[in-house]
Amino acid sequence: MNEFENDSTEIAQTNGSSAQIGLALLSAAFCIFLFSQISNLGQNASSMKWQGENLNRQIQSLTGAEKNAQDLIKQREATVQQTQQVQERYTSLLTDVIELAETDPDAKSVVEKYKISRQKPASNPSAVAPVNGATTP
Amino acid sequence: MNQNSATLTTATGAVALLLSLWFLVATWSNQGLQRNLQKQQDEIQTQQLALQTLQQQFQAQQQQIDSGAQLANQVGPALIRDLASLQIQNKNPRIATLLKKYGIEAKAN
Repeated sequence: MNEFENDSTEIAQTNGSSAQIGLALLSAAFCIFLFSQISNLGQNASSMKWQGENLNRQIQSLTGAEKNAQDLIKQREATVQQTQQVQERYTSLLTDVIELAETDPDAKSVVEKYKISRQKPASNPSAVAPVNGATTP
Repeated sequence: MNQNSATLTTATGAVALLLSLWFLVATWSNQGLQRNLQKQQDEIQTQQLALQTLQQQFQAQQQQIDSGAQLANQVGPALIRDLASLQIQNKNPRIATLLKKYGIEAKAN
């Protein structure tokens, strides 16, 4: 009877030990899987950090370009204003020449030579421009 | 034997648990980095749009300056010269009045 009990205890111990070894192996496999995933995440993180640095540089470059463009536009505002004044003055002169051309042959010859005609945009109905001419006053 | 296998199982289980925690932390950290990248890309897109608008404004200015310069340097003076020579040649008082209105007085040499 005792011999039988000893045998069954040994069998139970062997079975328990095998199960624990199997579990340990399973855990080890899971550890390897997790380690590979963590390694991948680390590589991704490095890549994203590098991308972030590049994007930061791009943002700095764009900020600089934006500032330069704003400065340039501001600097040219005076020139644009002068140009507008010149254009307005010439528009007025050309309008007068067109009006004079209705009754004056000399003015008419000038209008025909420079192909000056009235433009009728909604914003500036009095503007005049050459039809195929060199400029738009 | 039984004692050793139990220790081994516990140790590998503990390592797996620690690695799981590390994995979670790394995943959260990466998600944060991903969000930052997205924010930076959005910012770049906004800045590119703003820069594009400024470039369009700059081009419009350039066109205006170019057309003004052409008018002031080429067509305008030529037209005034023609008007002045017609006024002198044909003794046209109406053209003389017109030119005078703009501060131009034509005289024969």
